[in-house]
Amino acid sequence: MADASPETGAETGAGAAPLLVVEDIAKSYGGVRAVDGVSLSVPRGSLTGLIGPNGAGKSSVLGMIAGAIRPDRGRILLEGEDIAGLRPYEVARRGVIRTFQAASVFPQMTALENLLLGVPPWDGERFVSSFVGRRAWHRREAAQLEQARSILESLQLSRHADSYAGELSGGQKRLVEIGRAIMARPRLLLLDEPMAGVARTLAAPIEDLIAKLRTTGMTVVLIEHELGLVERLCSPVIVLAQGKVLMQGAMDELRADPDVRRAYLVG
Amino acid sequence: MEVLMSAIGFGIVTASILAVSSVGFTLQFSVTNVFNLSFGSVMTGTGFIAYALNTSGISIWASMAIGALCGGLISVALNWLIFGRFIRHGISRFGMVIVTIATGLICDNTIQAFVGPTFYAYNAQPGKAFDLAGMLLTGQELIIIVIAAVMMTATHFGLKSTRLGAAMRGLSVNASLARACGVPTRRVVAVAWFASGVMAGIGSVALFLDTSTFAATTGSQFLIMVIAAAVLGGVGSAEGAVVGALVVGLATEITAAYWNPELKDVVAFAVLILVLLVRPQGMFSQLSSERTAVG
Amino acid sequence: MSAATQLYLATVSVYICVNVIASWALDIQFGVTGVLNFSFIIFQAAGAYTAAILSLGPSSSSGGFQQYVGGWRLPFPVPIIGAMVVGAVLAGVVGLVSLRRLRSDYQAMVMLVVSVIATIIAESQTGLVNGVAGISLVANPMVSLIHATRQTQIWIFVLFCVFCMAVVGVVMYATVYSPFGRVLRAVRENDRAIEALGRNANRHRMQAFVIGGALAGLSGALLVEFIGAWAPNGWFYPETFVFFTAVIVGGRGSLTGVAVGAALVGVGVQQAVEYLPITLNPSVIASLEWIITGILTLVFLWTRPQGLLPERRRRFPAPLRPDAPELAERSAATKGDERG
Repeated sequence: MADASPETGAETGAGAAPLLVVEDIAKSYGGVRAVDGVSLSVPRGSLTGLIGPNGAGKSSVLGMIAGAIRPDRGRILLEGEDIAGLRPYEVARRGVIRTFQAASVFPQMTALENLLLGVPPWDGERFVSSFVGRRAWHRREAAQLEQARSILESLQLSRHADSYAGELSGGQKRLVEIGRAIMARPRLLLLDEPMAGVARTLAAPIEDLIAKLRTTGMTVVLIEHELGLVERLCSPVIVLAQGKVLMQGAMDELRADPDVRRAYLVG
Repeated sequence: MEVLMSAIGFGIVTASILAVSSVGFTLQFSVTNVFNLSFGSVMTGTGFIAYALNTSGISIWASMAIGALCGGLISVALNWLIFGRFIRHGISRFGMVIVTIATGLICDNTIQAFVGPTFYAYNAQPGKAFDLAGMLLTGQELIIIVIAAVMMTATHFGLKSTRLGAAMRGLSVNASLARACGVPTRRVVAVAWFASGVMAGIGSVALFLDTSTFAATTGSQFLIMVIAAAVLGGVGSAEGAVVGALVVGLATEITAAYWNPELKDVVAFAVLILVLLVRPQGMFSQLSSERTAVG
Repeated sequence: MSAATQLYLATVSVYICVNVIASWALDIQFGVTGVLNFSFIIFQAAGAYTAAILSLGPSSSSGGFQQYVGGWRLPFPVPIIGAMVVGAVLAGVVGLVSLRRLRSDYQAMVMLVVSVIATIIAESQTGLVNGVAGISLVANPMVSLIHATRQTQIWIFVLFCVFCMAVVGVVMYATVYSPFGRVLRAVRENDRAIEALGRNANRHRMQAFVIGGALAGLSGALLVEFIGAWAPNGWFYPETFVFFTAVIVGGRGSLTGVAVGAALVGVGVQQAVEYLPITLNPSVIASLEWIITGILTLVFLWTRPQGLLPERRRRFPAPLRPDAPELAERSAATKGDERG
């Protein structure tokens, strides 16, 4: 099993085994090779950045990890288990939660309900539970509600608890989406361009939220175009270009590298 | 062998009628991304317009042409009055299907209220039958096949070689990109609806001739066949619609000849369902879940 | 009250109950979970046929003028239960074929075709359910159960229908206002997102589909036991659309809304047209009903797509926090809100 520990691994943890190892995954659409043999590893507890010009294949890589896209080849090892090719809900059940480029809330459900659905699938959700054992799940639900309310409060969205998520602004939706992901207590959180569609005013709270996640020990992979954000938060940072991993390291190393600069200019 | 050949002959006639209709249905879908379930009513309406013309002395083929023209205009009007407005209003995709069904029901039943439940027939002689390698086809049927072939060829070349065709193909692949490149969306969409209505008109007169007698319900019953052929070939693909029409047409007539005429439609549908089980998007599909409706 | 008026009132009552149950069935599939079930009517029809062939005697008796399978003269309420089982199983089969990873309107087309196939099979295979002529002479179960006047028997059946409607109402309420119901709505709202949270969207659609199938079967059973007959021309594929209109007009996802829609569209439109001051011939009346139904749909989709009584927003009582007196006041106020 390829075990490329990141060059900047010292910051992220006592050299523990990586949480996620991607081995040589590839995906072609028609004749286009969107991902052409990508291998990377995500250290446990790190906030790993995934950057690259448009069309580099970042979303496809994330999609393959999350199960939305089936890789043509390769392995995706989550703590040793190969999850490549699993359906999205199977990947999510293993503790990998993702967000989408367009904030994917449930529009005609309240912010509170959105968060309630972040809880991992539980017994109360079965059809029979609607009739049998209602008191038990009422109690569980109350506990979930408390957790949800406290997350909403930390996101400063308490006053929107009963607002339909579809009526919130782009940034608020993004906060709800991430809050919902936090409810799932994921092993690995995949954030696909969290700043997309977010007005300037809400960029700071979202950035703070992401930074705080890192302190809780959650492992996060972040795709972002805003390199400033990546520089402030992420280590290590992996650069993709034209479907391949170009380089990996700290932002200032990457900035100085001629190949990386050329990729951004050309790609 | 003779039975087979004559069944194939009938199959080709059915396929021709189906092909014109399905291409009309699917072409409009490929441009606008709207499943138009009022297509059957447009067929019925134009078929009756042709009837009115025909029974007042005009030849059946001229009636077909004028009816087709009316069909085109009616379709454009329906889009302008109803469909386009709902799309711009922001309705969801399945809301749009319900809109087309509702429109179809209103049109169908309005026609029915006027013409009643009786059966009608055109004023047209089938002519003598020709024996072509065992296929017994009347002059009328031969003309239908020729008209269908001409329409298919015209559509094919229209889509491939004209600017309008290119615009239509552009809209079908990526509407926002096409718009950004300056494609006059509203106009192209109107042309797509017009073409769909014209084909509905031709298809309906051909159908009503083929079934000898027709009523207000004939069009909506045929609509299911049209949908089956289009879905089989992959909705949005004109070639697919032709292939789908051939498969459905031949399957129904061969079943009728060799097995049980009452089940001929079921066989066609069973084929459809089998294909969909294996390849849910149809044979030559252009379906994408990302596309939005275009009005 | 004359016998004719009583029969009329009884008929309207039964039709309302049956339409409400059926509309709730479609609501759980379409209103709550977002499945565009364009084959809906065949589940009601399957329930009706099942109840008929289970309660009738062997087809050879009574001169053998109608042929059908079954005919085991099963006692009440077995035919009704059988109808629900058949409705559920049929929904499972149709769901397996059509609930694939297809876009919603495409799925709807497949279901439409399934509905047409069902009609053709029922009409052509006369040994199955007597083909085009349909099945008749289905007895009202109360006739053999209760020894009283015909009118009393009918009213008891009406009460039974109301009872069924009430039970279904409770079942619907428990199902929709529960974590299970919440997942169903999430599948409707954003199936990609709910899958990314670990739930299998298609499995939930299938569950909603089967539940709806069973309820539709129940509505068919009650209807056939009241009318006494059932034929293909009563369930052509456009009939599905009447229920869609009921759900849209009433309010998708809202139980009271759908019930109101069912009464208005299912029964109200038909009655209104019957009693128009203008006398028209029967086929024009039928056409007029469809035209009004279509117009109602368009008008509501344009002006009020959420329906007359929209789906209620779910609110949860805020927890009491002893260290925050203002919060305690606010939560006392919100306790009065509907429990979601």
